[in-house]
Amino acid sequence: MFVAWRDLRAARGRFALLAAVVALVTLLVGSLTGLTAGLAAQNVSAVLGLDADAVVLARPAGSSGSTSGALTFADSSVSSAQQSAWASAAGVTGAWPLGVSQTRATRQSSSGTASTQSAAVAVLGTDPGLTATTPASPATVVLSTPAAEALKARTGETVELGGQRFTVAQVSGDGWYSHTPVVWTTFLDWQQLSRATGGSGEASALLVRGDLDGDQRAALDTRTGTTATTLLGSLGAIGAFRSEVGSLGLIIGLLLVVSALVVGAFFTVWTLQRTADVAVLKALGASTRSLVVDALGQGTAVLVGGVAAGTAGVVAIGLAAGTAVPFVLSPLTALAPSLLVVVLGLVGVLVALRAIVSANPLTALGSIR
Amino acid sequence: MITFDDVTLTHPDGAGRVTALDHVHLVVPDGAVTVLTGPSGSGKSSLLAVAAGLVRPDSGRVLLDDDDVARLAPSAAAALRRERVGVVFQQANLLPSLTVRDQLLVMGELGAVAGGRGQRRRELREHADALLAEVGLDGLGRRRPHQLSGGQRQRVAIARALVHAPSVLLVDEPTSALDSERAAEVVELLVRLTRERGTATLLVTHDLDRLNSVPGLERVVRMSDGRLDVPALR
Ligand SMILES: Nc1ncnc2c1ncn2[C@@H]1O[C@H](COP(=O)(O)OP(=O)(O)OP(=O)(O)O)[C@@H](O)[C@H]1O
Ligand SMILES: [Mg+2]
Repeated sequence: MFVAWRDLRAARGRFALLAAVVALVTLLVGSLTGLTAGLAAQNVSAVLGLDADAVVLARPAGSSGSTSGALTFADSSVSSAQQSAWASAAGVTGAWPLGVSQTRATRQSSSGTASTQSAAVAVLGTDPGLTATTPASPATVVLSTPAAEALKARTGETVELGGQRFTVAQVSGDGWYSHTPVVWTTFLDWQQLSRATGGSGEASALLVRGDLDGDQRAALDTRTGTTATTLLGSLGAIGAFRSEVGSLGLIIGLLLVVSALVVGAFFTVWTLQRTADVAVLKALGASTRSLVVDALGQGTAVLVGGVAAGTAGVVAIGLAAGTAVPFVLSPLTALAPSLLVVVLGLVGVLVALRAIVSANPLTALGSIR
Repeated sequence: MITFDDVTLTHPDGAGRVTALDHVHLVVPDGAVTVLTGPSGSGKSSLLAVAAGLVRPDSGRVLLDDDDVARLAPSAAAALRRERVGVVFQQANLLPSLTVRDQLLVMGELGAVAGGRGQRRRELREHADALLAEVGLDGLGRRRPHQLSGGQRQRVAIARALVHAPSVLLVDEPTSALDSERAAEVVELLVRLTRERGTATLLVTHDLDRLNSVPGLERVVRMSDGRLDVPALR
């Protein structure tokens, strides 16, 4: 690292510029990742928080079998016959209905003086005890924290859903579904609500627990005319989740490619520019290994410096964003993209190493530079 | 001492091969400067490159003391250079980002992956400063190459070539970028250091005339078309 450090110091302007570019790319990648994670959480956190080995969806009985397109929670409808078929299948310990619908909720003024407050919510109904947030008794709801905030509602107050009144039993969890805060009800209450708002009252999905492999799931699917996935796989059945995460992921991927190319191009030009120096060092007796370590160390120093600055920026943005913007600031979302930028940058540096390995010490002899 | 024993070197040249060294026999003794001169393209740099282990000859032996450089793999030849061979180039070929003193210290780092430390580092620095004083660059250790004259740069290059106390010094056209006076000074310095340190010095130059005034250049070998004109110099 003897020459590498001195190069860094002598050409600090150029290296600072590269580090700044790396820092900006890290900042962009990191904040997009935080934002994507935040948006995704607002889309799927309630479903992701469910405890099931498989999620079963089905096309409503009336619709033609040839309807194309992926099933979504919104247009899936599982009949009780399908439910019993799943519940009684070998390897299945239980199959419970899950109701999912979106509606408006209104908090009733308790004293008559306070004004009412309403908000769009997602209503998720399951059997009591199936999730920690399902209310134990009928005519009560559990509000997720964001739902409670949107409705300005507290435990014990009354909330109206689809013309029916419910008592808030508890405020708990961070449930979101399709960018709307979640209100949890019992499945029976959800059925009534569904029928009151023009629905069939049939479950949107089944939550299945048991020991099933992919083949068994597929066999049951064919027998019962359903589509079963893992919990993670079922996220694709939520509204725009796939396209949202997909397009943001594509941008993140492109940024990572750009950073690898920029770093690679910089170090390639930099190394080519000092090929003559490298040839001299080799002619003086430098081992190729020491030259490679030197160059790798130099690249790592610049990358780590830039990425550290960028990551600090991401943390600052995350802290500033607070709850105003859906932004997830976690070790994973802050450090994983940074690490990826370092790794991809090093790939770029590796490309430049070829010029060092292949530099011919003979060119140092009798040459005028 | 360097001994070239029946050394032949050819380079690929289109379909055929061009002979750069043609059965060369030569002994470069310790403590004296052996001057190798001859027209352009006669094979002077080729002989130097072979001695430095930068190219392997087609045949023959090249002995640095007792080791046959001609048989060494590139990495082993590099190790030999950083331990026992000093090289001075046509241009000083200094590294632009290093100070004058660092140009010397870098020789201690060529094989090293991690830097030296503490006591050793201080000793090396004192040694480098002493050597810089010896070549007439006292107090210039903190300058960078672009802050030096051509003659000063070549002195730094000579100090760099000697910092690891090599037994062999290979010098290729050290004066071609200098005026006659500066050229004579640099070669005088080489002659003096060669005597003081007892190195076997091979000095390649194409214009011997400019160096007429320099004492101690008695051993002169002429080369043309890859052959030594005085094969008797053994
Ligand atoms: N890499 C190479 N490939 C092909 N031919 C080469 C190569 N290097 C040298 N030669 C040829 O070998 C011969 C000797 O070259 P060399 O460089 O040793 O000459 P020189 O005496 O040092 O000349 P100059 O005084 O111009 O430096 C020349 O004919 C040259 O063209
Ligand atoms: Mg030459």
